[in-house]
Amino acid sequence: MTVYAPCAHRVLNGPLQGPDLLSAKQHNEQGQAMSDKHISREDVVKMAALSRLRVGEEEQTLFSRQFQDILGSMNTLAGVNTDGVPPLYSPAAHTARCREDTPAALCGREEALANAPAQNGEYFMVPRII
Amino acid sequence: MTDICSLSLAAAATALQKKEISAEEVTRACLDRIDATEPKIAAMLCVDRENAIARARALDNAGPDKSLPLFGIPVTVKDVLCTKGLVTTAGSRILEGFTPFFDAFAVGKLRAAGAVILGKTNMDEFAMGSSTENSAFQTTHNPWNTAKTPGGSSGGSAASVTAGQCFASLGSDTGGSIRQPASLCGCVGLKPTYGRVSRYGLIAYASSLDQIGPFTRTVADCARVLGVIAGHDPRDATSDPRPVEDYTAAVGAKTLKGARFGLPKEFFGEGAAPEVRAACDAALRAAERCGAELVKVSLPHTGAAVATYYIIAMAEASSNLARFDGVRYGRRAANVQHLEELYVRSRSEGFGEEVKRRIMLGAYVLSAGYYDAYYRKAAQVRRLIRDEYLAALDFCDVVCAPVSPETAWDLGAHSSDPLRMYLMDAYTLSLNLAGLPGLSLPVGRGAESFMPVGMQLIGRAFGEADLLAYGHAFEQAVPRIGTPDL
Repeated sequence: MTVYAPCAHRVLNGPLQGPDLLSAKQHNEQGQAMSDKHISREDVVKMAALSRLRVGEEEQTLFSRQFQDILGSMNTLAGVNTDGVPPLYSPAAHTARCREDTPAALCGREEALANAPAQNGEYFMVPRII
Repeated sequence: MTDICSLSLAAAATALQKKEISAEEVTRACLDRIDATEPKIAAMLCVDRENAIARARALDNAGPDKSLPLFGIPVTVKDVLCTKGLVTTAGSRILEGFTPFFDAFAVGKLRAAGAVILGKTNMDEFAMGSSTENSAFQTTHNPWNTAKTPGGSSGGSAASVTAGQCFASLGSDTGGSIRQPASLCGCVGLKPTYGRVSRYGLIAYASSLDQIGPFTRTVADCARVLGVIAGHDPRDATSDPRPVEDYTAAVGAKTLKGARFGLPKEFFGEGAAPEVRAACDAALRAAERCGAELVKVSLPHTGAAVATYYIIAMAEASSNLARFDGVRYGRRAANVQHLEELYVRSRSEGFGEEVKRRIMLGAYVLSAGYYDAYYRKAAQVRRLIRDEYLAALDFCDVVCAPVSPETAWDLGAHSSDPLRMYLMDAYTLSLNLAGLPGLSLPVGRGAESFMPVGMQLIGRAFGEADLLAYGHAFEQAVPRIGTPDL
């Protein structure tokens, strides 16, 4: 069996920005930059806000460095020619199958409320919003 | 391993049907094995001892039934699958104490086939990880060497089957989470075709990639369990309606003579550890001696698969995990004053670091200005990857590749470097992007580490019968790796 140079794994045994990971300055065909910018702690705070999460100062520093590495590695895609290639969002060929809209008893109220952190026997309870 | 626990599932099933052993005896043997091995491997998040014994007694009272392929067979289930009345956490603090009122489709199928559910297995939180170290509750150890990882995210299931705690376990595979721990622990693991097993009741990580599948100690046992859990389910819109083949009958139906094994050049290079390459080469030579023809194929976009996968998986995760808001189930932060604070604090306190990382990166790649550059681009590359697999499978019966670039590594070795951990999935995740089935089976042990090495056989969509038939033939062609001395 012929042994070939690896493709995905050059990065494993070498520096993480290995030869398969293209320059962070590359752009895709829409002209949009993948993340060639520095991911600051402020960026991390914004990403956390989008995600309804709060991250402490230590995590902000850690995540900004890690996100820089991870998003940088994703720039490998900028070098792939995808002109005219339709996106594939699911391997299933039949995700939009319709069914009859018939009512079904999936669970009772008691079951639905059983795992709620706060409920009054009828509804989920949340802090007052108005 | 005690005598009963060292049997194959098929042998135990035969003995149970003939009443040579009772379901209670088998169940108690497995529970004893759990008691003996858990202090060393910590594979189980919960053991449902009393219900398991009660269930086994009820089966014994009803008597053997040939229509139940898993009559009296003790199994474990990854904690990402909902089990009625049995706590299901997905390895996360945010779901601590969550008790589903329904069974996942696959769990219901196990019960209907006569299985005895012993408990839930440990996993990386929300199946996000490759070592089971991201579990919020405990770290699972590899049965062959407890200083090493069992792999992940279904590490508890793989360790449980390998240690003889059960005859089969269910796991989920989003980027290799069945095949990789099976490889690292030296058991058999199957990721079925996307759509073959309903995802109803599976706590979702990345819905276009997730698939449920079995862990067993032999390929024949894997075929039997797949036959039980496969099938159409209208509650999962991606569940495929085509009939389930008789996988058990398929095992033994093929030999390696004339089988064409496709070897993608991108998977057989310097990226894999020398001991992994050596074990895989030896196994392929054994297959060749049995008449298999080894042909070269190419999957040129393999190098882009890790980035493609993580963009898509993180994007889907950020959407799926939005449901954990502290309102309807799961953890709620104490002393919150308003709704926004309830969401933010419940999620921040409930999710672990890796889950937060993936949710935040997912939100980023879906956000305005980055969607096209990341998510849409990844979806386009996904099609290229899928089409390459389909083209390769036109030239061969199965594609063969190593499962993991390394044998099981030391616990803690990669846990502080998420990107390096992501790269450990490089051989498995392209299959999830393509939606194809992959069977991981042990082919040897590393010459340096003495840890198991697995190979994956990759087949055509819904070609599980052929895949299992070739897998069984391959299994017969390579020496067995034995069992760990626990």
